[in-house]
Amino acid sequence: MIELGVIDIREKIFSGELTSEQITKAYVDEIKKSNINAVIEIFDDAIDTAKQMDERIKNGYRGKLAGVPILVKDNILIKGKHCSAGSLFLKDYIAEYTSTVAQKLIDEGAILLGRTNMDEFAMGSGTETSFYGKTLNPHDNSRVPGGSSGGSAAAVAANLCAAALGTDTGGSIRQPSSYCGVVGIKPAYGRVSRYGVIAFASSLDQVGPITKNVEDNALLLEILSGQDKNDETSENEPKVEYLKDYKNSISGLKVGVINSVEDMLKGLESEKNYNLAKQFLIDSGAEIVNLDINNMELVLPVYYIIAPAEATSNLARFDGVKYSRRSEKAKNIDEIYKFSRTEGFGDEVKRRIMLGNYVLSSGYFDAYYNKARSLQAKLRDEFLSAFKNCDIILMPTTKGEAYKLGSKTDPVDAYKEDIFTVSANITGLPSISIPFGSGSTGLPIGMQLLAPHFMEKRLYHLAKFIESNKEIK
Amino acid sequence: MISLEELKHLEDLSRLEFTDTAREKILKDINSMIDFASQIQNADCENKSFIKSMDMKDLREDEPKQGLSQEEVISNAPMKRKGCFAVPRIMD
Repeated sequence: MIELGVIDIREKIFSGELTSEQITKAYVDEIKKSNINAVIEIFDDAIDTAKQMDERIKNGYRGKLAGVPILVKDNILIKGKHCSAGSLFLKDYIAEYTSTVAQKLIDEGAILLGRTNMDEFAMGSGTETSFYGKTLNPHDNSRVPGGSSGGSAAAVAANLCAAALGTDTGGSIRQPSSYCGVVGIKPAYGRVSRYGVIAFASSLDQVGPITKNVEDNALLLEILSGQDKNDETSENEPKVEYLKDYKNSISGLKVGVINSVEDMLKGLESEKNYNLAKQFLIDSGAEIVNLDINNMELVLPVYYIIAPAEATSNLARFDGVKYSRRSEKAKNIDEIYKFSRTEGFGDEVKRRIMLGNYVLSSGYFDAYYNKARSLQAKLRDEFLSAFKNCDIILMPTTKGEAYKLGSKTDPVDAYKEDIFTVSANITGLPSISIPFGSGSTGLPIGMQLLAPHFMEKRLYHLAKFIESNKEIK
Repeated sequence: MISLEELKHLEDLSRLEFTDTAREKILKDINSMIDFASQIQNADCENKSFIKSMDMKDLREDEPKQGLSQEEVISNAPMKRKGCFAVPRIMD
């Protein structure tokens, strides 16, 4: 039963075939047996909550997630629970309030099962920088699951939960979804509230679901979305039932492909999957539109200026005064700041704070930060005008299969992992990754779809079409 | 390329401190990161603002509301005294 997804579990619970307690216990057992280190804590009240939920369901409760066990990434706050963003700095931190996204799951009857491992402060592509150790790819334990939501994607793929929440600042939901063979969406910027989510780069961060299939994903995003008075960046967009009028046809759909992306793909492992996807869409009646988008090769350096700049500001709050950790060596206030941060943060976080301060410091601000922001605006305009000629854009999610653990020792080399995913964050566009075949050793590879702002419905329709009609090899 | 002196300045701005051995590695890393970021400098692009202009109607009413209690706010502080965050004496 552990291989079931969200909707299947809910239906079986409603029909009396399964209880929430049974499925919750099954996942708890599976997590305890698992060797991939995807889950860093099983909540001790999960089984009791499931028992109470079974009672409520007996009495007629019909929440959209009634009794369904879901894991959340370690940067999403739940009142009274530990939340550490994968960092030693927050090892002992206990959330004082509940994030909007977790509350929305609770309000629909979900059982919050535990928290998943992640790169420290969501900075990484392999879930190798966590204070809690590396997470392994469930399909091949010698490889990374991707990152930073690697724990969430690996847990979904290994059937340690029905679904999980991740966060995506530069690809952190989609890239691990590609590597683990699951479905992950980064919603449009402003679709989902970030209240109670530990911030990395506030103009790029979004929360999204990682699931075993497209329908589960659409249901979860429907629940998570909506304006929140506690997050001023959440937009007043109407709630959409994403798959309500799904038709099993894409005839006449205009799918954009970016010429410069095709150039970058030459010789990469996912080129084959991308070409197969393109051919599949043509065979299914879609029209391919070639797009010229300038400066695509600069989207990655733009991202690696803006994201560290914002991270530097967001991580200034970790000062040894407010959140759980203070260096024991510190004798005065300056030492409290300096020693607590030096002891509490890992290497990658320190590097990005340093780079962020560099691009924001006087003398470099215009050449780096302002220039990056200008290029960001230009890229956004280019994507928006590209959507005048097409409905949706197709891109690979990753360069290929998951890479080997420990193989990315050079930070810039690791950053190049995000080459195809960062443009959705830089432009604020919604983007989904769905499994599409495999690579040279048989491991999963994902394809990515991008749509105009708040047009997640288009993503789900095409994703569902691909999932239903493509014999994934 | 930044020098060792500039690196130390960045450490100060970042409220971080590296040992001499760690500094060698971080200097190399930061320089390769800066080098990577520098690709954008030759891009042809006029100054453009990404931030959309704000309409007064987008602003919410300034209404007082219940936030976290004082106790909750300081609940994670490593040191607290009489409902406040506590730090060592700053002024002699």
